[in-house]
Formats: sequence, C-alpha cells, structure tokens
Amino acid sequence: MYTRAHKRRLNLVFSLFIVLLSLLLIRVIYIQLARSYDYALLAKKQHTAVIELQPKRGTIYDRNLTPLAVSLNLDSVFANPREMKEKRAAAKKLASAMGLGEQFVYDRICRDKGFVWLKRKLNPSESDRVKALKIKGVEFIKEPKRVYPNSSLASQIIGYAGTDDRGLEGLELRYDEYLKGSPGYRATLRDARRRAIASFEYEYYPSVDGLDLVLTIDDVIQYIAERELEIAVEKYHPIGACIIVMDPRTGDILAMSNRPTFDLNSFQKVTPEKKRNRAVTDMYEPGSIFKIVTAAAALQQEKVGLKDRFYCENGAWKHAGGKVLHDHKPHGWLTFRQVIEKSSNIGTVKVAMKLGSNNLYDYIKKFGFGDLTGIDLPGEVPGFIRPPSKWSGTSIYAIPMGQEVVVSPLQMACAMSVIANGGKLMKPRIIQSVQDKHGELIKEFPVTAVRQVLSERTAATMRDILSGVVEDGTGQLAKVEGYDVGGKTGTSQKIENGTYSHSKFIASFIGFAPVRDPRVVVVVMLDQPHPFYYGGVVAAPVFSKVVRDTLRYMDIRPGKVTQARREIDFEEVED
Amino acid sequence: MRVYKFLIMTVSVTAVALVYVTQQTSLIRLSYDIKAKEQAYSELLDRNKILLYNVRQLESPARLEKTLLAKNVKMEVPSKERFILLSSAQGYSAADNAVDAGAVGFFGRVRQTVAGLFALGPEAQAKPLK
Repeated sequence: MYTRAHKRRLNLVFSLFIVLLSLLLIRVIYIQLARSYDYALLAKKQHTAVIELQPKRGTIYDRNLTPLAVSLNLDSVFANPREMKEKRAAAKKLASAMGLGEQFVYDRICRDKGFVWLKRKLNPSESDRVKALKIKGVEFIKEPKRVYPNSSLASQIIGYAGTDDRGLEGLELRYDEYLKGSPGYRATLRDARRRAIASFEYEYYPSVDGLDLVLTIDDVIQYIAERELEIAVEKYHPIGACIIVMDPRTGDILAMSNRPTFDLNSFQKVTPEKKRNRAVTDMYEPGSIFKIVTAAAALQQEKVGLKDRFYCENGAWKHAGGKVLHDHKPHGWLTFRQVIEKSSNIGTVKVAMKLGSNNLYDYIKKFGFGDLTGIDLPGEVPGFIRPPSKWSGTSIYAIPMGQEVVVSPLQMACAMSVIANGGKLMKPRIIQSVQDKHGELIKEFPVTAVRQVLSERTAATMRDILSGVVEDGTGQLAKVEGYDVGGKTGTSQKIENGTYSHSKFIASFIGFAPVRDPRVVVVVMLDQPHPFYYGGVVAAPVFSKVVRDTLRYMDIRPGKVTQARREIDFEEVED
Repeated sequence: MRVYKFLIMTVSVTAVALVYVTQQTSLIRLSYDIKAKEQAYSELLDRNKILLYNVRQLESPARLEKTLLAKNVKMEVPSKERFILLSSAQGYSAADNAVDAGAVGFFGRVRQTVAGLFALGPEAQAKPLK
C-alpha cells in the first residue's frame, strides 16, 4: 500500500515535527534556564502590587490644644476622556459642580488621553456634587492637603507645607522631621483588574504618622494681638509692624503677630516680604525703650538712687562729644525716677556716665542683646552691640538711649521680662512639647532661665518706675482701666543715607501688667507710622487694648493699687 | 474493583480540589469586602476630620467676632462666679407639701399610713420648680 514516496513523505513530516519539537524544546529550555528569572520577575510584577502607605502629617496645636494646622485627605478628580460620552453635557455638569469654566472642562475631556486632571483637592461639598453626577470616566483619588483653620493667624510662626506635604516655612519647616512621619508599604497579590487582594498580603510595613507640635501660642491672645495690630495698621499705615505677648515667668510666647501678613491657605501668591517674621528677623535701633536697660543697670550697680537729681540742661546739651543732645521737651532738674518717666535723653546719658561704659556694656550683654535668644523659630537675628573698646567718642551719649545698638523686638520682650519676673532672663519658648496621636509626650521643651540679671529688689524698683511712666509720664495712653501697668515708650529715628532721618521713625511701646505680679509682657512696634509717629501716641494705645483683653481673657482680676494721679497729659506722651 | 477504586480516588480528589477552590474564592471575595469596608472606614475618618476642621473654622475667634459684630451682638467676658436664683420658699403651702409627698386622695393617705407603720418618711419626690 505504502509506496516509497509515501514513506519518504511520512519521514519528512516526522522529521519536520521532530525538528519543530526540538526547536520548541530548545526554546522551552532557553526560557526555563536562561530567561526564567526575567519572566518570573515580570509575572511577579503583574501579580503583585506594592501600595505605598502615606503617613499623616502631624497637627500643630496651640497651648490649649486648639488645632492651628491640620492635614486633610481631599478628593482630587480626574477623567479618562476615552471612556466618556456626551462630553458637552458632561462638561456642563462637571463645571457647575466644581465651580470651573465649562469650556475649560470641555477642552480637558476632549483630549486624546487616558488621564487628565479636572480639579485637585476639592472641598467636600464640591466632591459630593461631582460624585452625585455618576459620570462614567470620572474618577477620584485621595490627596493630602495641609489646611489652616485660622487662615492668617500666626502665619509667620506656623509657616506652611507645600503640595507634597513637606514643610517650607516657619515651624512647618523647622520641625518637618517630627511632623512628616515616615511612609510604609503593603505588598499583596492583585487580580486581573489590578485590584489588591487583602488576604494575599505577604508584606506589610506600616506607616508612622507624624508627631504633633504643641505651641505656647494661645489662639485667643494671638487673635487679640492680630486684631489690634490690624486696627493700628489701618490707622497709621506703617510699612511693617509687630506685637509680641510673652509670659515673663516662663518665657512662653503667647502671641506673635506681624504685619504685613498672609493667608496660610493661599501662600503660593505671597511675596517674601509678607512671610517675614519681623519679631525675630528684623533689627532696629530701639530708641527710648532701651533706657530700661541703662536705668536697671545703674540701679543694680547702686550708681544712682531714686531721688538722685540730674540737671537736664533745659532740653539741649552740648556734650563732650561735640554734638548737641536734645530732649523732646525742655526739663530742668529731674529725679532719676522722673528722668525715666519723662524719657529725658540728657538725663539718661548722665545716668549712663555715672554707670560707666564697661558696666553699661556688661548689662547690655547680660540682658541678652547681641546674642540669639535661642527661640525655636527660623531666621532669628542676634542684633548688634560693639564692645566698649570699639565705641566712638559719642557712643556713651547714644547707646544709653537706644542708638548705636540694634535689637530685635523679641530681645526687647526678653529684656522687659527680666524686669517683670524679678530679674531672670528667660529663654523664649514657642514650643511646649511634641506628642504622638494619643497625646503621649515624646519630647518636652522645658522652661529655661538663662541667668539672673537683676536682683529682685532692683526689678521691683524698675517696675515701680515704669508704672510711673504710664501713670504720669510718656506712656499715659497705655493705661488699662482697672489694672496697674508699667512700660516705656520709644520713638527711634531710622537711618537714611548714613544719617538719622527726620521723617522716618519707629514707634514702639514695651510694657507689662499687672505691675505687682506681671503676667504678660507686650511689645508693640510700628515701622514708619504716619501721620503720627510717637511711640506714646501710636504704640501705647495698641498695648493698652491688647493688655485689657488679654488680662480679661486670662481671668486676671482687676486690681488697681496706684490711684490715677491725673488725667492724661497729651503733651507728655510725645516720645 | 480497580474501576471502583479509581472512581473513589477521582471523586475524593475532585472534592478536595473543589473545597480548596471554594475556600480560595471565598477568601478573595472576603478580601474585596474587607477592602471596601476599609475604604469606607477611611472615608468616614477623612470626613470626620473635615467636619472637625469646619467646626474649628466656624469657632475661630476671628470669624465669631466678625459674625457677632455684623449682627451687632455685644458680648462680655464671663466672670468666674455665676449666680443662680433659686425659687423662693415663701408661699409654699401645706397643700403643696401634701401633693409633694403623694398623700393626696384615699389611696394616697393609705399609702402614707402604711409607710408610717414602718417608720418610713414620705416617699421622696422631685419638687416641681415654681
């Protein structure tokens, strides 16, 4: 039956199959031995999913655990234009739900792509509206967003975190390591639709949420300071201003407010000028408020007594430096107390001359000027004071009244705290503690006394003198009904083209309350206010309002010991 | 016999395989359920956080004062002491006492008498606020 031709054909087919099978075998062996690793890897990639677990950024709280900065997971909406139908109608509905332009949405969903963002980080109501539309091809993804419930409150202190949830400014930047947490991951098998199958999870490394910061700021006191500063800025149009409210007993910063300011929820469009925390980054010549240092040092060194009298040259004195020193108002003989109350430049310089330049310099350094205070805020400046060996012939006539020395508002607050708390220089504190999600303490920032600068007695005497400044002297507009307050006014000239300007001033007031047991020290500083520029006129009333509301909020009972001696003398407050 | 054994084997293996497959599919179905629940839980937590944030925003001193000023509502900082005026005892008659003690009517008087036998006082009653 089978011819030779058949046999040959059969053998040929058989050989062909053998060859094909051999090739197949070789291919299988090649795949199995040479490429097995690559293919196994590819298969593993397709079957497994490694899901990154993002940590939640820590919350920033005020001292009463009121949140100042929180992270929320918000919906971001994207579209797959290839899956979408009836695009014009869909665009109209989506635009209305998200508050976007219809044409904008339409252009996006008409792109020939598989993924286009429609809007990121929607607010919950927008998200609900879009979800309710149930449009095919419109999907959601969760993205974290840092939000600030009080908008611009303490904006320069808190700082902000960027879109990737990393700190960029202020405490958000400084404490990013604590706040950011660490990511984890979950490795699991996934199905054909790329959904993770939880029961086939084979590796799990949990994310660790960021830690929470508890600040010393009190949101209500901060608000009071912000409100009063805003009113003052509207009234006197300074180019910059700040208020610091400090607890002199602990060095806790209760409020730190700056102008200009910005809304933390829309920080992207803000200029660097508005982001600056002037309370710690700006240096200025303090002017008359610096007389508290000269006076305290002279008292502590017993170079002067309260009743010592100084001749104030009737307002103009040509001193040994060859220049003429002026008082804003002519005075004849004044007691030491009156020199401070009336803010006499001539009297203060004469006090400093009795004290001596070395002693004065020592006390300036002891009060912390020329050094960083050590506050946990970025950008702090140390200020500047030259040692006596580098003083010029006129320095002893300038430094005692706050010229030729540059300080930050925070340093002035610390200096006044020395007088208010019985002589101790406290390290200013802005952070109380770091805690975890359950409130467990992780790190505490203790109250730190740096050094004893003055004796209790000297500090008490200074408080008494400074209460006189408010009762009878240049600070009368700082009076607070029902409370005894003490303080010092300051009006310093800015330097313009190498000389002291006669049109640009810094108005300041620094004080404390209540006098007998000071609970707050408040610094008010306005840079180039106009039309008025005296510290006693511009800054003192701001101090008064901040202290009034703060003391009431702190539930400190009114209790006035000194009697109002007379009505406010408006000529007196001009300094 | 051989066929019988073969059949038993086949059925057993099939049964075991079916049980295994059923377990696996149940496991996967449960996984999807767990995932859905986890997602819902996470959604609720997020929603809760957003609502708390809204509360904080609404309670912020700046907003409160703005709202109160707009409505011309003047507020005072509360003091520590609060005085609560209690109702005056004057004019509180014996009849009122009887009502309070539940001794009104025949049954009320019987109950009062029985209570008296056991040296018990009148039943405690909440006094209505006048």
